[in-house]
Amino acid sequence: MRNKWIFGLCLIIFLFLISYGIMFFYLKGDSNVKGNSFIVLPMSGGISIDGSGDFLMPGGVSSTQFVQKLKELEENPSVKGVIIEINSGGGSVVASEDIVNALKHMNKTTYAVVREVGASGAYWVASATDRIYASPVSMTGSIGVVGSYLEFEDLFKKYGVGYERLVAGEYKDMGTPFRGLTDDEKAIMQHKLSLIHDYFILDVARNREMSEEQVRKLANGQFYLGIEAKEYGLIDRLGNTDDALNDMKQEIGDYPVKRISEKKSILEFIGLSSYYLGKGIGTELGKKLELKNELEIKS
Amino acid sequence: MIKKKLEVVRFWKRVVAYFIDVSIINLLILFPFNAFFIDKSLDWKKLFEIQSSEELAILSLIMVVISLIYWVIMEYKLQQTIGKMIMKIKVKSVSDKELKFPQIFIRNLLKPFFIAFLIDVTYMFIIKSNQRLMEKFSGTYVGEENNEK
Repeated sequence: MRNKWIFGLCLIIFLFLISYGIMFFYLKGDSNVKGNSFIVLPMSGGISIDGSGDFLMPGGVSSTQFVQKLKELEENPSVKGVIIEINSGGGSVVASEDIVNALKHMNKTTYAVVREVGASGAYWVASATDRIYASPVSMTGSIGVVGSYLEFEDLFKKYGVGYERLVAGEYKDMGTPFRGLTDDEKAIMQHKLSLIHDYFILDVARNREMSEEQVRKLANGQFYLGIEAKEYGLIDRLGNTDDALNDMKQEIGDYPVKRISEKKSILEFIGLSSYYLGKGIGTELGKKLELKNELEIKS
Repeated sequence: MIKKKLEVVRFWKRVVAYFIDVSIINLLILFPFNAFFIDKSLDWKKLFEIQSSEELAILSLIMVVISLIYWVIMEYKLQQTIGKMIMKIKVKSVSDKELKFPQIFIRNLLKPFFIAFLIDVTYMFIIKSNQRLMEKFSGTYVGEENNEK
């Protein structure tokens, strides 16, 4: 009789601990900052509005969430400075610009630290901070715009699949992968890419206090190593997050540092788990096959 | 086929037992999930933004699973939940055999879904039976603790 009450109590405690554990990990990346501090905010993966990433590798930076986070940090008087730790090759133009604008509206000291890569849209984001740090071998810059896509017209023709074009408005299906672009359409697309490129160049020039000509010379789409970027004025200092923090401490004051971990949604967590599980199985299978081949060769 | 006449348990006892269990689940077991709503600053607009509603759906699913674990494990191991222990009632098999896990799982399947559970219970009144719809499917019923067969 007594045992069943004990069993019931144990089950309740066990389930409570499970609930607690789930919420603990879920809220681990919380940005509630109490007490004066510097914040290190990571920005990893492709930048898009919803942070959906791609099919094989879900996740990335959601500009909507990132901007929200920046607003929270801006409104929090305990936050004395923000360091954005960038590891991203860029992404959507509008999403990048959203983050750039949010940074420009911040009245707090913001630094960017480029880790492995901070290129294209991610460099644009970095340019909107007060100072950019990068390792001598980080990849940065890549000020350019890509509009490339796969076009399947010939492949479809080969398999007897036709594209029945029905449009009202001459350019309505411009960019469809089912047919090649006409010369007219190519010119239009190129013009639009150039407009975005110009906008990108002008904004980087404004942010970095460089002349438009200076940036335009560098904005041929190539990436620059940190050491080159420093020479060309695209970054301010060579260094890592610790260097940036030390500088911030010297300039603002000695406050503790809080690193906001990237909070993965449960879907992202499941997606990433599946990705790494598949990758692990593939790697192990590959090793086994290699070993088998070696054994065959040796025997 | 001869229908077995099931012993009748007072309906109010089952209702009280259910509310005791629901209180235990919501006030104790699922209490940490309140942090999610506090995290969203109880801002319902925020809660139903696209990203939040996705998180809300997944957290709700986890809450459903945890609630189900409570009902199913308790009834599978003890034929009773805390509420049923207090009200001295017990889950039994129509066939008088030992209760099997799938039976327990099926009879509890709709409990975490309020509307579905209401329909499940309404069946008792329509058919004037001592069994809920899911109890009928699972071949189980609720009887008095002391009337062991």
